[in-house]
Amino acid sequence: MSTTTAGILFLASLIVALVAVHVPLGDYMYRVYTSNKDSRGERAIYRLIGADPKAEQTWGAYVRSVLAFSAISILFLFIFQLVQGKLPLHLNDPATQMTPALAWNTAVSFVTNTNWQAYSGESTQGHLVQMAGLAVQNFVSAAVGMAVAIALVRGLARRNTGELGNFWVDLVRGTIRILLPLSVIAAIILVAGGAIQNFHLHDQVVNTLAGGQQTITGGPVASQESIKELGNNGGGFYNANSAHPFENPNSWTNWVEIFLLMVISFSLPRTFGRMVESKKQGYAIAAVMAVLAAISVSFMMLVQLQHHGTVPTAVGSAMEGVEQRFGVANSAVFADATTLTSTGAVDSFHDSYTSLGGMITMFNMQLGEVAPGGAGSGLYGMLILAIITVFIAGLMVGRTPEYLGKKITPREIKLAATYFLITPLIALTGTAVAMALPGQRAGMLNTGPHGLSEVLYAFTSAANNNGSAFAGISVNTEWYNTALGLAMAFGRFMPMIFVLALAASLAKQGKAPESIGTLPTHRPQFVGMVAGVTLILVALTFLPMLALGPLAEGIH
Amino acid sequence: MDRSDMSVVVYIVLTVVIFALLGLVQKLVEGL
Repeated sequence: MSTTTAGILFLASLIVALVAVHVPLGDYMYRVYTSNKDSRGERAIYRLIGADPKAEQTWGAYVRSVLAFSAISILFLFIFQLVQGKLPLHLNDPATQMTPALAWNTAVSFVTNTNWQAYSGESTQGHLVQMAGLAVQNFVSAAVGMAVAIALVRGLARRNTGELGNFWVDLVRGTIRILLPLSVIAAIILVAGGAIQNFHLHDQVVNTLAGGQQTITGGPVASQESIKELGNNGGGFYNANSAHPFENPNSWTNWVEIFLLMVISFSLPRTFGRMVESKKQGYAIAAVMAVLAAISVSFMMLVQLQHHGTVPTAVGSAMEGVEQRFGVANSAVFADATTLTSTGAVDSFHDSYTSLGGMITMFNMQLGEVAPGGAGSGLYGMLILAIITVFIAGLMVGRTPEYLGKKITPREIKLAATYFLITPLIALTGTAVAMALPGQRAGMLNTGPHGLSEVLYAFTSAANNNGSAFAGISVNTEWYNTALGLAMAFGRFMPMIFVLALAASLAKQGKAPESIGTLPTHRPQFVGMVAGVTLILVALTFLPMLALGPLAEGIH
Repeated sequence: MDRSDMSVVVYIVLTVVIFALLGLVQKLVEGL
């Protein structure tokens, strides 16, 4: 079987599986977020944290809950990493010193669902921090994103109210009822595929071919791997991430990991459709995600499999930086899936991709990670793009801007437009500042367009809470740890504030009756319009920078 | 207090400042 045929079959089987699962999972998540019943365990948690599960919150209270929870999480994880040497299951001789800057960067990274790693997992973090610190954030940071998305959907579904639900209930239910059971099942599947799950720290020592000795660090890898993909986190137990055989042993676990990192985000539109009582609206949002993803994957496969040059021509594709167990096509699908979502896990080296292949990974993130995006963040990002499209369409054809019976007034469009502009502002400003400072330019290991791409990728990844790295740049410095930490924090929470403000603004409205002037938002032409508006807006925002980086490199 | 201890304090203060700023943004948006 040719590489191209195998790649197409790999992709087709993924699509079939996602289509099959999105209905039952989407319906299940609908029941989780609309149920009035709390389990005994959930009630115990609410008593412990002093939350009243029956009390609804205004958008301001919802935002303050998100911010308070996240601030405490960052401070806890920051201190936890710094004192890990005094706790059980720590590394005796970590290769990378845990400095305050690195600990802070890592804490912000995992709490914001970014999982940018300026360290090697296996030689820096002990098992206790991996399990009780980083893995916990893998669950709750994803649940925070899903909670905010559900609050926006409530804003669209509800009428004449200022209440958006209860953050603490959404957080606990998302973690306990959705992420935890799914990740347990996924971890068992990964263990069956050969991913390791043990507590070995220093006891596995092997003699190397060069005559030295090497400690093979084990750990509870499969359990972390499952939520790493399912929650769109991406932080690897090992530095090689999903290219490491202990994390991702073979071709079918590679398939499972790609499936996991897309399944929640592709199922949430179904949940949205059920909550707004129109499954067609959910299908339309899922269709926009699918169209953008299909364009991206097709283009990526084309450039990675057809790349010119002596070696790529000899082997038939761009093999550099690709793990041989997976091959070019499957690695290209993984690279696309991880950047189209907010995952950031990698099974190949993005820095080694063709210039256009590398550009696609960046462009995927610059889309705002909406196709299908991160757990929750993909849905709220796409709904905001739908609202912007309704507004633009209204301007063009003179129809009243309405979405799901809610009028898109100047207030709604100001909130949506500000949401859209925040992340590019952070990514481009960060890149510009890094390129303007001689000390930070010195951290680049490449010069010219490729060097610029590496810096642009780092800030794009941080601001969009992706977490993958182009590499080729020394980022474990005080400046980069702090600058990227700021990009991750503001890139995560500033948009959330505008999403929740928009949700409240919509929830306060009644439902406008449909008229002949109402733009249908469930038909294929609307799907095409949203995809088109998204591509045009993102291209207009990032094209100059992409022209100086990967496009210039491709021409060269 | 050595440099590392100072850095710990600086990053704790930075975290508090970030979330105070985010709270301020929320208040400003509320007033729109």
